[in-house]
Amino acid sequence: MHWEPTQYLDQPMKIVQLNRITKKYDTKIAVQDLSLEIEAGTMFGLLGPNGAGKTSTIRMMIGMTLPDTGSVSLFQAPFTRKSLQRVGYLPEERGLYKKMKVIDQLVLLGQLRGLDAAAAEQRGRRWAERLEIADSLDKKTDELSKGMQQKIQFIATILHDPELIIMDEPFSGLDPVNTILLQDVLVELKNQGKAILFSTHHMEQVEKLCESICLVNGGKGVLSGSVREIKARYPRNLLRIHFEGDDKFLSHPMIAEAKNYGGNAEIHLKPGADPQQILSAAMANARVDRFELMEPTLEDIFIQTVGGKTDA
Amino acid sequence: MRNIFLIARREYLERVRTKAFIVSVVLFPVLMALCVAVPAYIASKGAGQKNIVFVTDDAVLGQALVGELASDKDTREMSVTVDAPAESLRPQLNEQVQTKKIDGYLWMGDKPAYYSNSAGDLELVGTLEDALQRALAHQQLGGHGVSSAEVHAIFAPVHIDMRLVRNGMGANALSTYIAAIVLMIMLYGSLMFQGNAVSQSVVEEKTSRIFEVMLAMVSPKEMLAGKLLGVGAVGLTQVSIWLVAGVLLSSPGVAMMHASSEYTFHLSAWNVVTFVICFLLGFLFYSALAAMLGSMVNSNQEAQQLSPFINMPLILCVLLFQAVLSDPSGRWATILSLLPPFAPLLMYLRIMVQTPPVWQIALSLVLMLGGVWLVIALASRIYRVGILMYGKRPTMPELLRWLKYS
Repeated sequence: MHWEPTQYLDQPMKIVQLNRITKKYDTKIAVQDLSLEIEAGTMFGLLGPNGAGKTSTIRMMIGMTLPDTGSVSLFQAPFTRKSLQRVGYLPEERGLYKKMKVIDQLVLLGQLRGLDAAAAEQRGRRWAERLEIADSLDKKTDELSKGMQQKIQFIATILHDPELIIMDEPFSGLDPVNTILLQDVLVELKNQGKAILFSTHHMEQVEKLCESICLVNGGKGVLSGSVREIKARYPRNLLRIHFEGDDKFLSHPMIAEAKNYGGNAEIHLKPGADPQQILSAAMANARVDRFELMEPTLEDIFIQTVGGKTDA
Repeated sequence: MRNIFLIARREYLERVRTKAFIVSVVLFPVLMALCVAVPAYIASKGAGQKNIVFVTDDAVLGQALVGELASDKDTREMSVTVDAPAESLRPQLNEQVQTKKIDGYLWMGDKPAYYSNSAGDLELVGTLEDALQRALAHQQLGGHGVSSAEVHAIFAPVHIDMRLVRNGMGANALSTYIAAIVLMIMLYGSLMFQGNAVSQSVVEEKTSRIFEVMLAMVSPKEMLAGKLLGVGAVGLTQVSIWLVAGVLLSSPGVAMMHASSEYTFHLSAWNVVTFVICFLLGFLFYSALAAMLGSMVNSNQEAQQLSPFINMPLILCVLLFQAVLSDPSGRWATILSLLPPFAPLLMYLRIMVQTPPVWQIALSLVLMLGGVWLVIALASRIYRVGILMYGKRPTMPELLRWLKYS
């Protein structure tokens, strides 16, 4: 395939293009007719409950399995194994040789991605320094805690400076401090122009980090686009009120559902309801400290879209 | 190719550094040597001196028996006292046997009988029978005027030395026989050991989800090829050390020091070359199957339950080796040694004891290469799917479907 590079100067490079891919295993359909695009310099959220087809989708993206129908393009060209040297993949399960020394492991994984041993070691040490795990490099993997192993795996994924980084639940097993450490690295990499695919069922993380998403359920893409656009499509019908006093305004006829967490109420309005009327009803019998009309969260949208059926 | 090399190198270095490898390299030859040396040592030394009482009313016969036993170099040391028979003597002797003052007594009556409290001393009774027969023959022939020297000449032991005609040189048959058994057991042990190592490491890579990481970089074929090359190199290292040890032990200098120089362990270059070829072909055949097995299951226990199905032909070879040794060019030995699952061990055994016709060696080699190719093709297709499948073990129809997956 040949193209003029100048043609793409004004628009970002399409790092991943999945075009209507389908994968069946025996009788089960893992992925059906799924399309998505990921651009350079963005973070993309692949969302869905467990078993929705996220991992199957990723496997096809990196040639671990082949789609039954549909096509996969990486870096604007049909998939070839050669392009895997430009990809970093962090699977959900930790996969490291238990008895191998951590630094040897990083060097091996770097070499398999085309680095020479010296460069791989140097980069491994630099990243370990940055992620505050340099003392563990000379230990064996099974001497490390789960969180430390996850950091090592994270380093192994980005060691060769890939242009496409695929992270399947990257923050599982990490404490909040380390989660932020890794998030910062991901944001930095994104700003350097890398494309990052972030697969998870934790909606809050996606909401915070991703520009675009694809929501999968039952193997199908049920919702995709930029997070802002998607949210704009859904009405603002979530209210948060912090109050002191009587809570009987919560049974107002315009309220579909209300939860009161000791003065912190989360209110879902009925369609067409006027939030101002709720505010005056609340102020009639209670003192209102805070009143906020929220954008719908991705979780709300997800639940609305898949009909509440989620085991996430 | 670079990926295959990197994976093979990791596999090799991780493995040769393990204690299990070092132990297997050292322990196996030591065990083999003990298996040969201990029975020989026990047979040569015996369990020390035997105290036996010979009860007979014929004092001359008694002395003759003592003389015969003393002149027989092969028998172990014995101290024999002669006593006249009297029923009163019996309880006394029985008590001496019980208190282990004597090992037993030979009562000479109409029918000679040996009394002891050990049922297993068949060899001793055999020695006594031989000596008694010679003593009796001496007595009777002496009565016919045959001189003692003539009788000795008649009963001089005869030993037939077995030698093989091979390339115009005589080779000791017994040492060839021993070498054949030792090398075949070595081949068997190494094939089993390395096959097991392959299936276990595939299971480990599967359960620890290393495949998820590796397959984003390398293809399943490269993984499998790297693994087989790496473990194969470990096996080759192992058998090389054994062979070098064997050659050193069989070198003339060391052989001179052997107590029983009859059992020299002789290894020719041809033996070594064929050994390595048989090892490599057998290794590829059985280890590809083991990798396939490892990719199908979810735990080491499951792999161990199923591995006998794969190793059946190997086990059968060990059960059959006596039969093949006694008739190396018999119909069954010939047929089995041509078939791929059996060829690495049985053809090797035949080559060791009696060089088979060249066309048979060539046919066996061709069939084996074909078998290896087929097994690797089959195994790599199952492996490719199996390593990413978790949960229940696949059924036969599922496996057949896996073969067709793109």
